[in-house]
Amino acid sequence: MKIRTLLTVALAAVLLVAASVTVGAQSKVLTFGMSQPDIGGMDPHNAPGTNDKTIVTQMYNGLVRFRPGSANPEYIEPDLAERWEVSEDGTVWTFYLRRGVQFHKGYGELTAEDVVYSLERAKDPQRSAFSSDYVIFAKIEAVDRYTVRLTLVRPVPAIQVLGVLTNYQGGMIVSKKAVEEFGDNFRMNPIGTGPFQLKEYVPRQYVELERHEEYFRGTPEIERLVYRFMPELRSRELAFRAGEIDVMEGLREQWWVEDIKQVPGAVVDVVGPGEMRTLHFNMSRPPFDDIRVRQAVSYLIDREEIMEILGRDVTEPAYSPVPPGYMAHTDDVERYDYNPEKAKQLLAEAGYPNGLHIGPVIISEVQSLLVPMQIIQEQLAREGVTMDLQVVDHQTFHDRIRQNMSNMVLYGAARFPTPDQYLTQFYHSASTVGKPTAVTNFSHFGSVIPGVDHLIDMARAEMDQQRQVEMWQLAQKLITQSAPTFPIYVQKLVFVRKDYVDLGYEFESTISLTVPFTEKTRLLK
Amino acid sequence: MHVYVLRRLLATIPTLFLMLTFVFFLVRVVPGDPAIAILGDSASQEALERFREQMGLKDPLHVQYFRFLADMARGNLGKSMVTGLPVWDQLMRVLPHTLELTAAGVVIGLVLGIPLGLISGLKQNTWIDYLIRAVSLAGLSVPAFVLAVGLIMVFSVRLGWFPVISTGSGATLGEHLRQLFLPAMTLGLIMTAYTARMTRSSFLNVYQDDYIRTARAKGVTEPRVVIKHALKNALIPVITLVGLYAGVLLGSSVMTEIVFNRPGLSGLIVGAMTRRDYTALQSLLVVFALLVIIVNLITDLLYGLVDPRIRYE
Repeated sequence: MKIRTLLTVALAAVLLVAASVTVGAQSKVLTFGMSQPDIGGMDPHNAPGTNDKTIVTQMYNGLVRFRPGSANPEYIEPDLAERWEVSEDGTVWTFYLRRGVQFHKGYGELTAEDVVYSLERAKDPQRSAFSSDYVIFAKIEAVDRYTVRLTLVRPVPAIQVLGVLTNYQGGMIVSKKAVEEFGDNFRMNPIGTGPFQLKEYVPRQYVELERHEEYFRGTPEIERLVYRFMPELRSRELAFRAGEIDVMEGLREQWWVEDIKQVPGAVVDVVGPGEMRTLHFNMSRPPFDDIRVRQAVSYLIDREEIMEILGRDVTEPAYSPVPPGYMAHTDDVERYDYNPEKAKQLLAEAGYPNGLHIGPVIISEVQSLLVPMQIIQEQLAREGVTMDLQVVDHQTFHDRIRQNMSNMVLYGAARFPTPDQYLTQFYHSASTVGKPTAVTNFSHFGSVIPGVDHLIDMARAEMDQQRQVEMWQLAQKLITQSAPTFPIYVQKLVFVRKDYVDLGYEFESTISLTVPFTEKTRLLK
Repeated sequence: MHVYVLRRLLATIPTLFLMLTFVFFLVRVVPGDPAIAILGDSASQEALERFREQMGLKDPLHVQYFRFLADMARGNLGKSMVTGLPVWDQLMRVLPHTLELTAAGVVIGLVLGIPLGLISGLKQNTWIDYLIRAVSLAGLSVPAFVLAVGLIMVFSVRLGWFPVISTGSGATLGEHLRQLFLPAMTLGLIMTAYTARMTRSSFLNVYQDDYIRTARAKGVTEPRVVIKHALKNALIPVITLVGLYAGVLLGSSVMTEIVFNRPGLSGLIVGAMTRRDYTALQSLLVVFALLVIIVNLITDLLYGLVDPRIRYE
């Protein structure tokens, strides 16, 4: 019969193809499985997402940098600048550049002109997403080919100057020639000085980088770096097991970490700084305009239980509005540890002796927000506190919480590891949602009740580091006394790599929220 | 026949117009802001406003609508708001993969489904029939995602025959087919289940008709009765099914594409949707709808070709 013959032939062909497979042994190509479905662009001054930063961090340098494998601002070290001097009054910073640093793809030697151009660009709100970080610079000028002079509007603590000049966000240095040549298309034609340069970008598939042969710290060991967009965890994991990817972003939950550790040759890195999850109470209307209700709900949430469910290895408790590990962080604040009795008493005093209905609470379908929110919902329900939980897709979530539609907002964020950005964006009255200057102040702290604007503003300008730390610590204490938010835990990052991937540094924490690959990273296979 | 074709073609025009309008408004009804999706959560209001202005999102809705219609009429798919890349380029990159996968799924479905359905019908109420029916019922019920992961577990992780990551294009034909195999099987096996069941029931219907008895009475041999007289007529509803299902496959292959990390149209659409990339999303939806219309048109035409009663109506 014809059909049978056809089937036999088809089957034979398939088996033949399967049998003729040769496993490609490419020892100098590293493949990274990303949890994001795509990137937005590779222009460092306009790359806000973690997905963008993952790629961008491999391609650019700053004047200074975080030590690889560390996000601790105490270990900021020279990068494109060899050394620097500060004038006596602290307002003039002079940076001396390394000589002979080459841009990717023949765009020439890095000069002071590129640095001036990059920092001017980072400062310009028309061309940068991080312009507010650079308002401290009054003048940015090239003294000669290898010297850059920065004049500040007023003296500012060293950490704040160096912080914005690191290989993070706006601090990255781009090629002036390339930006002028490509214009708007620069984000798809990135030219930096970093260890890797763009080879090919295929939307929703991968970004392939190749090594920058003339990288100033030496030619990288790895020849090609392939970032695959693999949003489906299961498929990322299967590809890792099958040896098709070498490093992957893992699920930040304990059971998964335990599971993947069993895979032969898998090394799990659980690192900081991670995103802090904070519950923001919307004080612009009842019931959270009453401090007793905010305190009661705080007392009803069992932080320990949440961390038990998500896993001890991947979480760390948080009590202060500033994440642990950040400069000037303190746990010497008003604490709200699980105490249902106290909560009931407070609720009764507030006029809710028989339970409370919180109203609409909007949450993203993203697992790392939805799961903890569901645990909180369950914990509150045990004591008669209910809510209308509305689960929406991530963009709808971002949209609605900015329109003040949710009575509680569970939010996760990581920022530059000093308190300034965190306090400004979440607790300064100017950042309150609904205002023209809005960022992410969902609780309306400082707008509907007195806040700590003056402390945040003063600390930012304080030259004396000791006094600055004191102001930041006082701000943390005062905030918790009003209970506008309930800091819950820090979600650490989870990466898995094959044991033959030698990163070339101690991996403790990462400012770019990804695994940085350096010129020293090797594949031992 | 020409009149029939012309009539079918003309009927697509109002469909197209309605579809364009629907797509435009649907995309904008969904809450969410492309500016935040693209610039990030710590972007200033100033930056967000500037972005909205640049992208023409501040213009009145009717202005945006007519601009969209005009662009579509000129065949201009525009640029992605996120990457700034022309949508047409992205589309051309993925479309061959989507068409290839869909076609492969349909072919596998037909090659396996029709014989299975036929055997099942011929051996009605025997253990073979029960087995085929049970397996095809399972095939209908299993989600593509589960099937895909199952296939990967066995054939990629355990046996190492096929890759997990299907880039969609191999250097050699062998490599190419090897990458296509598991994703195509995922879609094909589900399609097989549909085809087998449809073939069986349609065949049993036809097999009891008078003209079959007439054929036998004329002395036509049994294999010839089955293939030439019964199966040929039984396949008419199967064509309809294939047409409908090919449209479904075009869109529902999203899970298969994601699990196998394959480039494809549905993945592109989902990506544009999650980032509220309005320009890319509306253009891609239009292309997708166009494809479905074309597939349906072809089905209708084939149907007319096979069944003379239809084209003379």
